[in-house]
Amino acid sequence: MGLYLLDTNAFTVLYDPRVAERAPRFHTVVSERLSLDKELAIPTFVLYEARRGLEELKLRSEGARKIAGFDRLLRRATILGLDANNGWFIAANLWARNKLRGTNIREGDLLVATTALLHKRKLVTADQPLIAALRSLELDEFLDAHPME
Amino acid sequence: MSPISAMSPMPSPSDLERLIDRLPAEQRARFRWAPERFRQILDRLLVGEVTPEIIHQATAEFVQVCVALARDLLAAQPELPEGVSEAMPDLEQSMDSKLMTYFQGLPAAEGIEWTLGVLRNSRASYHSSVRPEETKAFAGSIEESKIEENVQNPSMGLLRAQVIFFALLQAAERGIPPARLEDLAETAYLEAAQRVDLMAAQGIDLDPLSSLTPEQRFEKVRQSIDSLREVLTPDAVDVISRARVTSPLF
Repeated sequence: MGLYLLDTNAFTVLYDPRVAERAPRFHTVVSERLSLDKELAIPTFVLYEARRGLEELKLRSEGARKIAGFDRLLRRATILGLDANNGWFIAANLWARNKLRGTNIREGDLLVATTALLHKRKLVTADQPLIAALRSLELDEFLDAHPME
Repeated sequence: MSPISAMSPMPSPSDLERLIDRLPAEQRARFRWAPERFRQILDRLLVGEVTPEIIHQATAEFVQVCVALARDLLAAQPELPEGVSEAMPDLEQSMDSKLMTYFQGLPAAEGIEWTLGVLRNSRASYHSSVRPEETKAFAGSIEESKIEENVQNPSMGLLRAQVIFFALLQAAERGIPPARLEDLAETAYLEAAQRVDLMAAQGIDLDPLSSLTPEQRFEKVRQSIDSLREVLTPDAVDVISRARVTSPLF
C-alpha cells in the first residue's frame, strides 16, 4: 500500500510545466513520492475537479490528443474515496471540530484531508491555508507539507 | 440494435476479401464489390478534419454493408460464425502489431495500445457469452432503417472505434504519415473509453489496465505524464485549472 496522496496542487505540478518551472523543488518532491509509492494516488475529490476540466475541454472540442492524454492519466491513477469505513462520518466529525475551533477550511480541502486520514496516507501539498488548517486540527501526521517553490 | 451488436466482430476490407475467398467459386462474384466499398467508406476518415458527424456517417454505412453481407454470407456459408477467428486474421491477430508499428514513438501509441486491449477484452466477452446461432439470429433481426440512428448511441463507441481502426490500418497500408492521424487515433481511444465506462457501470470490466501488475501500471502513469506534457497547451491547462472547486471558507 502506498504512503502518499496528492492534493490538487501536487497533482497539477505533474502535468503543468509552468507550475513545475515555478516550483522546481515541489516538483522534485512530488516525483520522488510517486517513485517511492510506485503509484499515483489522488482523492475522489481531486478526480472530480480534474474531470470537470476534462469535460469542459471535450465540450470546447479542444482536440482529441489533449483530451485523450488527460483522460489516460486520470484512468491510470489510483482513486481513493470516502465511501468505505465511515469516511463521510469522519468528514462530518472533522467539519464539526473545525467549526468549534473557528478554523477556516474550504469544503474541498476538508474532503481531501479526510481522505488522507481515512486511508492513513500523507497528503502531499503546498496549499498553505490547507496546511495551516490541518495543523490547527492537530492532524500533522497526515501532512507532507512543502512550500510552493 | 441489441447490446450484443456493440461487441459483434466486423471484418476489415482485407478480412472481407479472405471471407469471400472461402466461398464457392460461383458465389464469390456476388460479393466482389464489397471490399472496395469498405475502402471508400474508410477513405472519408483519412482526408480533412474528422467530425463526430463524419464518424457516425462512415460507421453507419460500414455497418449497413456489414449487415447486408452478413445475411448473404451466412446464407452461403452457415458455419461462418464458428470459424470467425481464422477467417478474420486482421481483426483477431494482425491489426494489433500493424497499428502499434505504425504509431510507434508517437503519444497516440498509448491510446492505440489501450484501445486494442479493450477490443480484445470485448471480443473475448462476446465469444464467451454469445453463441454462434445468436449471431446468426441477430444478423437477421437488425432493422436497416435504424442503423444510422443507432450508431450515434454512446453505447456504440467501440463500434465507431473499430471502424476508425480499420481506416488507420488502411492508412498504414498506404504509407500515409501517422503523425497526421494522431487526432483520429485518439478519437478512437475516446470512443472506446466511453464504452468502457458504460460497461463498467453494468459491472463488466473491459479495461486492459485491470490486468496489469502495479509496476506495469506505474510505468503507464509515467508514460502518461511525459506524453501529456507534450500535447497539453497552456490554454488547455488553464481550462483544467479554472474548473477547480472554489468553495468559500466556512
